[in-house]
Formats: sequence, C-alpha cells, structure tokens
Amino acid sequence: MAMEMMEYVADRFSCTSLWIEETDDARSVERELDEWKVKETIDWYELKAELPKSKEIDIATQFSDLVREWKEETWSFSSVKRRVIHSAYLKIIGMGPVAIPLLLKELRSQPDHWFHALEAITRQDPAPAGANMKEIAQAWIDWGEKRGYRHSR
Amino acid sequence: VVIDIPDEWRQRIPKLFPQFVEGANFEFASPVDPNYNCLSWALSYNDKYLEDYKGAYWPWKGVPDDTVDGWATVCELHGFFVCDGEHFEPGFEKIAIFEDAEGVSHACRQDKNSLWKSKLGGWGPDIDHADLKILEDGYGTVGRILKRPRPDWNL
Repeated sequence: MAMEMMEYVADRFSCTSLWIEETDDARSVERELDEWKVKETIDWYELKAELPKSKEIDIATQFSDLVREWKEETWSFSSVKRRVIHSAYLKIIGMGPVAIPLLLKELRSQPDHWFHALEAITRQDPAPAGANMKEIAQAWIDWGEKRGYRHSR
Repeated sequence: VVIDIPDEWRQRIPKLFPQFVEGANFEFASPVDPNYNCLSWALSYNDKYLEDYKGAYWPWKGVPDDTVDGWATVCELHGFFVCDGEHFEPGFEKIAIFEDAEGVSHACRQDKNSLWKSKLGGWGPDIDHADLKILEDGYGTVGRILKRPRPDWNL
C-alpha cells in the first residue's frame, strides 16, 4: 500500500513531505506543511475511513478500463484460448481477489469468458463437468451469491 | 422478425468491420449467444462451442483447434472437401476459413441463396452477408474454401 497511499495522502493534503508509520499496535501519519514548515499528526482513523472509498473507486475504474480494452480488442475472436492470453485479461487476473466481485458483476450484466480469470484467482471450479458456457457462467454467479458477494447481484 | 442486438454490439462491430452497412451488405440473423462459435455455425451447429477448451467441444484428438488445417480437417470429417472458389454453386454448400497473422480466425458457410452465414466472436450475434470481402478488415484473408453436396436437411 505504501506508495499508493503516500501519493494519495500527499495529494489530499497538498504537502510534499510525509511520513506514514505502521506498526503492530500504532499507526500514525505526519505531514510537513509546505507553507509553515511545521509537523502535524493526522488522525489515522479519519484518514483510513476516507482511503478505502477512494481506493475502491480506483480499482473499479482500473477494472472497467481493462474490461473495455479486452472486449474491444478480442470480441471478434472465436477462440477462448486466444482471448484469455490478451494482456488486459492477464492484468485483471493480476488484480487478485479484489477483482472477484467485479468479475461476478460483469458476468451477470454482460456475460463473457470470465471463468478462466475467476478460476485463476480463486483456484476453484464450481462448474459441473461437461457444462456449457451458459451453465459455467451460472455456476459462478451462484458461487458468488453463496459467498455473499454483494456486487454479484 | 426484429432481432434484439445489444447496443454494445451495434457499436463495436462497425469499428472492426468498417465495410459493414446493415441492410445493404449484411443483416443480423440471430441474437447474441455464447454457446457456439463461428466454426460451429459454419458446420450448422448452434449448441456446441467447437474448441479444445473448458465448456467447449472438441472430440477430434490430435486435430489442432487453432490452425486452418485443423479446422479444414474437421470440415472434411463432416463431408466437405477442398475446392477452388467462393462462387455460388447450386447443390453445394461451401465453407470459407479465414486466417490472420495469429492463425485461423474465422469460418462461415454459404446458404442456398448464396448468402454467407457468420457467427461473430464467441459471444456475438450471427449475421448474413453478401460476400467474404467485408470480413477481411477483421479476419484477414481466406485461407481455404471447402464444399460438400448440400444435405437435404440444410436446403
């Protein structure tokens, strides 16, 4: 988190010098105000409440950009194998577990070959043997609902 | 018959196929459907996704699923044989297999009225189109043409 968070906080508080310390039992953020050159401690918990929302938006934007790129550049391929080695698809897999609810939401709203990514991230395979594409999609949607992924609805 | 084609498909198709003019050189022929691909539709299946991959169907062990030769072999196993031209021949059904820099890219078949029938992508709609040239922007060039006597069930 360090780099992203540092950049975010520096931008958020308009400062150039910033320290974030995180230990097992204490977290603090200090900034040096450019104008007055004084140090100030920021309430970590206030900041933390702000950060996840911002990061969530970043992740959703990053995901939708990659989905758009992947669809635009591979929609015409009939080969699934050819589609899932596209760089945008691999980047979605690289996003890891944060992409799961977004993939499930995508699978429900605009179905496509997201099974490979879900399988790669979760290392699970809820589809019954011999299932076709529609059945595999449904199996993953059911899998998400059972696990309470809110975004899958 | 009005075919429901989602807006996203109506927007993305002309970007890859700028020669497409709906109503002039192509028509949508089916809604989007994920359960078959272009090779399936060329062979008149709409319930099997022909690829050696999870959720798909490829019983032809040893036949590559990503080359023109492999697809042509599958067509031959369905009674097709290699021929020279794409021109319409009454009494025969033809399949055109396309290839691009990455390998085999598309297949489509000619119906009894000389129109070509294509399934676009794995999850896209079917279209009927007047010639093969309009596919070249997205699918490259024709690598093989095959034909077979038109079966009674596919008049």
